[in-house]
Amino acid sequence: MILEGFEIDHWSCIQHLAVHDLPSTGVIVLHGPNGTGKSSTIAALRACLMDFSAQATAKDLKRYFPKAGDEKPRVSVTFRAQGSSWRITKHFGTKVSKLERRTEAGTWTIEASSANDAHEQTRSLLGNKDSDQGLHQLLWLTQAEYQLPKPKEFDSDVQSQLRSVLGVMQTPLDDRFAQLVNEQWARWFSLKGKRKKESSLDRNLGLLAQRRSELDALNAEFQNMEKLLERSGDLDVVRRDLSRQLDDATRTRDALQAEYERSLKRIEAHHFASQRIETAEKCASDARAKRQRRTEAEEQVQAYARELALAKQALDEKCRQLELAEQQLRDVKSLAHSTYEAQREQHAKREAVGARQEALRQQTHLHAAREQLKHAETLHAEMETLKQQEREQPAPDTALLRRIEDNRTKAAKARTELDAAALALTLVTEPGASMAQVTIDGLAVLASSQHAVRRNVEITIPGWGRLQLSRGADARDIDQIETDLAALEREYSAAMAPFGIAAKDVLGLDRLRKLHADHLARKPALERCTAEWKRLAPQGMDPLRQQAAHLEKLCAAAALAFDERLPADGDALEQIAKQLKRDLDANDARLRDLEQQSAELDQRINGSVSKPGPKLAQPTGPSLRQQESSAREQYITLQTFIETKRGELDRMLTAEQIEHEIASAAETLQAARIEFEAAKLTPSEETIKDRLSVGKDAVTAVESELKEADKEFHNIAGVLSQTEGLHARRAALASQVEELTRLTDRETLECDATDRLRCLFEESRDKQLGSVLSPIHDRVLRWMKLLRISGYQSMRFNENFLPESLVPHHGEAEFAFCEESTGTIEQMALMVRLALGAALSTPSDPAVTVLDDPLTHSDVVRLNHMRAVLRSAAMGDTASAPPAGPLQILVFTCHPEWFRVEDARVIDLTRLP
Amino acid sequence: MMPLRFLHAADLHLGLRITRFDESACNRIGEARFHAIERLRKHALDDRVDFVLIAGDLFDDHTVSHTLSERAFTLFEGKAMPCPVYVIPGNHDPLTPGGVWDREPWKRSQPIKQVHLLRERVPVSIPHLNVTLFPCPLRHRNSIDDPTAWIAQHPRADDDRSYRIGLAHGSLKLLPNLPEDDHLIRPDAARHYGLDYLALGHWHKPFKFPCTDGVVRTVYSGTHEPMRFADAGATGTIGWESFSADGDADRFQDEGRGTAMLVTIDAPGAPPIIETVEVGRLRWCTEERDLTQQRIGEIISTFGDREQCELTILRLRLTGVVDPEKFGRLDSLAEIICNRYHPGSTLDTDGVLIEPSAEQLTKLVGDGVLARVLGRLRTETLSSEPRTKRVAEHALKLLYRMAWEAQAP
Repeated sequence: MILEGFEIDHWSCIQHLAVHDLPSTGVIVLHGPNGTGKSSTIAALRACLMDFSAQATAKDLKRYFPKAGDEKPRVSVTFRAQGSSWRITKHFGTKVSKLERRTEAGTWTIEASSANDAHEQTRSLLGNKDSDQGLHQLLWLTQAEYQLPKPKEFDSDVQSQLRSVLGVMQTPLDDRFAQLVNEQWARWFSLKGKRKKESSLDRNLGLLAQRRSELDALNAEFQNMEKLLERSGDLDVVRRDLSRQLDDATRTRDALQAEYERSLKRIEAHHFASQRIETAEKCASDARAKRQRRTEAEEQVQAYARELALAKQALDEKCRQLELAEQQLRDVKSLAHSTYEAQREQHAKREAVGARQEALRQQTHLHAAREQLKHAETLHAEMETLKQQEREQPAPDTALLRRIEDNRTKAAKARTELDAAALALTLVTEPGASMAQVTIDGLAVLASSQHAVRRNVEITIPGWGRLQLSRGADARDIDQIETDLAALEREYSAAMAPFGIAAKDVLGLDRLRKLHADHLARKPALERCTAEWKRLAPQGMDPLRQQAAHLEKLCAAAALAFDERLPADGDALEQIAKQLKRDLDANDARLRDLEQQSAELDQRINGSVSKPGPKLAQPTGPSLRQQESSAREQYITLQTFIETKRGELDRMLTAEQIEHEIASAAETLQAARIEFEAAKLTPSEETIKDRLSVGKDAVTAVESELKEADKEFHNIAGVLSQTEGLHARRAALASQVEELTRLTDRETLECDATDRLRCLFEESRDKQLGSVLSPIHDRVLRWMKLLRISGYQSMRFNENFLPESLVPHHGEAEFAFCEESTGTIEQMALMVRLALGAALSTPSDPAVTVLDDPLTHSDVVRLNHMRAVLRSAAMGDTASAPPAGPLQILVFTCHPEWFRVEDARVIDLTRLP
Repeated sequence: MMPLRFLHAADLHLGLRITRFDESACNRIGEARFHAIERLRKHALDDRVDFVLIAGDLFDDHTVSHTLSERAFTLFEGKAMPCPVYVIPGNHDPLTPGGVWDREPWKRSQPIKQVHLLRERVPVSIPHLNVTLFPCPLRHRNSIDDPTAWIAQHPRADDDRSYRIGLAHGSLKLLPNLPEDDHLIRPDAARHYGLDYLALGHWHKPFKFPCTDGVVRTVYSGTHEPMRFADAGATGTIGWESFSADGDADRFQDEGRGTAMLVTIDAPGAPPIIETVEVGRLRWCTEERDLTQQRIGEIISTFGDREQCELTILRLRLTGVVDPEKFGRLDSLAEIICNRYHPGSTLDTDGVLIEPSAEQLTKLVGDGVLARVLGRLRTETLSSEPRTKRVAEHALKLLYRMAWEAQAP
């Protein structure tokens, strides 16, 4: 179907619009500014051609009825379909409709005149679809419609038509097969293609792993048992062998025991002889040791005696040295004592002289204090007098005085201004005339020649009448001056009152100045007296008086303690004091010398100083007392040793006794040796005991081994008896494992095969889609290059003929179509629509495309290139297989320059008649 | 002198450890071994035998459960057993401390009534019969000793007119490369030791070995109940574990049926008359059919009508090439095998190739995506990588099956 023209009356904002003679193919740009009614025009076309009968009352239709007036919308569309031209005219809101067909002669014949018939026949001509269904879904775009329809919403009839033109992509058998495969595949896989953890296969695999683990444990137990079984067999052999060995060893031991018992008496005799030799040898050895010990003791006693004599001499020498040193110490201490006594007397005399000198100084101080007190009292009296004068004659300070002087200056100025503002009234009376009565500002005044009148004046002239003169209403300056003057007078009066000067006193200001001058003259004298007094008595008079009284008491006390023997002269006292100091210094030096001597002696005697004193050199050796004590200890020790040794010597046998004992032991040893030779054993008798011991050990060892073998044998029996039922458990578990293995193998194969089948199906379907959709794909890709959308190698379509994903160049991962930018999606979607529409369009029956303000998301560059795409789509492509038919593309826009392609018909909607 | 008659059985392997079936099948197969003992007992009663010999491996392992060992004891000890039963431990249940023989009820003083567990290698005289048994019980799983060697200490005296019967468990040293520790027995043991009959156990297949004089006196009775698929090679294994180094050797394969030997000896020194009796309950069989050569309906009919199929453990393997439609019919065959045959029976169709005709193929996959998938899968089935090939083959079967389902209205 293509549009040939249309007329619209009273439709929404459109009063009348008529477009005729539209070209059958190519781009037609219908433009006008916003509000012209472009979208309303498209709505009218949709309503008239497909959506509503003239009698329809749907809200979607009613909203296009004019808001004002009773006019009903009328739409008439001329179109070409099924080889003829048709005109459908609908008066919406009425029953008036008609469908006409153009005859070959060019006249119109009515095909249907009722509203319903006209509507239904028109729809039938156009495919019985609403304007958003069928091919219109692809080619009639609203303003906001920039995306492609969703696969499930894409009209199935259009898909069928495309399938018939482009080829079969996926048969119904394929669909059912895919459904079956997917159902089976979903048993093991999630939608994301990952293995389901809860599938029976994974459960069985988990169970199989668990059972295998359990079976391994049982097998390990079984293997262990088998080892035990093997061990028990070995043990059986070992036990038999050990029993045989035990019999052999027991026989050997018994034979040796018999031999031993036979040799026992000779062995005992040999043993006793041997013991006797040992005893005799021990006695001889003991006797020789005694002789040796006695000789050594005697030599030691003699050596100690010599050392004792030397120790005695050393002790005597040390005692003598100690006594001599102690005598020297006593002499030094006595001399020091006498020196100390003399020094103490000198100290007492020196203190008396000092006291006398102090008394003389106190008297001097007392005199000075009395003078100071007297001067301070005089200053204090003077200060009090000046302060009294200040209190009695108050005087203004300089600032106040200046303020008062300033007040007076201002008052004088105000009076001058007041006088200047007054009227000068001059009365000149004729001689003989009676005196006029004058009242100025309410006050009667005596008439004279000159008067100053501030506000009004009333002159009563007897025999003539009264003359009244008043200042006008603008006498405000005088009032102000008077007010200011009164305020100044009040201030002056208040300022003068504290000083006892009346305000009316004309000399008041001079008197005030004199008071101020007197005050200034008193102030330095008062400050001087105050400073001097504060210097003499910073804390007042009482401390001065107390100090004087204290000094008097001290002088009185010193007079009582006065030593009559001392001179009263200060110089003589000074001479005496100096002499006493020299004597004391000499005695101090002597005392220190004596103390040094005493300490040295003390250190020499005792090794340390008994009390703290002068610093001494470190002693080089032991003290005399230590030396004496050491010598005494050595002497006593030697005495003790020598006595001990002598005691030991006394307790030992005598030399004769020891010699006798040695001779007796030698004789006994000789006799024992003879006896030993007589009891000598044969080699067999010598080894019988050891051989018997070895035989017994061998029996014990074999018995022990046999016991161990028996024990292990019984242990194994115990362990094996616990394995009852192991066989059945192992068999059952192995059976389960094998069953599970079979199951999982089978299901894994089923799972892998299903997955492979599904994978192959997907791949094959893609290839099938690719081959069927290649004309569309190739055309869109060419157009994408025209638009400079060159980042993609190819575009993948789904089985609904709609693009699903984009495949970039250079092997990058493909991504979903909807992930592109809005502008690109809009452009590519339009191109896909045009390509699909062209596939269903033929030169004999072209399809119409209506675009309402399209490509609003595109930039100017893309729009510019888009013109070429529109032109290409409108022309069609007869060379492709199947051929792409031409399109009639109506673009409603407010930017005609974007779509004005070469040989396009451009219609300005605002300039239509 | 009355002729001597006895039953010789061996390798009962009670508590058999089998794992290649589901638990239910394992239990029923284990149970069949007890049923076989009952049949043995019936033969003893019917044939009026003097005694029964069990030549080792009564139990599959010496750690079998108490319940199982007691049940076995009761079967031999019960009233239904008309004669004494002489048992020796074999290499699966050797006489070891703590083993099954060391536990109740087998550790009771023997015999209680009928059961005689022969623990020692000493001659045993059977009361009221002129018979001396020479038992050779095993104490180890493996041993390089000949268990019968001790009998040499008891040669037949010149005036000895008793029946001398040997009872042993081990391998006759007939074949080369036998494991040295497989309790090897000298081949001429019966003649060498002057035995009238040497009852042997260990080999699961019945085997009669003639002496140099041509008289058969050395006999393996075979297992009393089959436990493997005959001639099935490695695929016939059931998870059973032999303790011999060559446990999968032919001598340990049974014939798919359980046997015992009914032996009659007219007089000491006379040649024994040996009759093989079938005491086994189940039959184990492996069969293979080629679908290219035999019609499916015929195969279904054959296996559906087979007698005693409920006592047959069948492992049927199908090969050949079929179209998807026919392949779908195999489900009914699988159903027959699953429902009518003994548990553990299986149908293996891994060897069947599904190859639809050109017409079927067009109908199956159409001209859409499936046709492409089919092409890819066919290429992958030619892969040299085994896993890829196997997955592709299975995926191909899935494709046919699902395409078939997808076509269903």
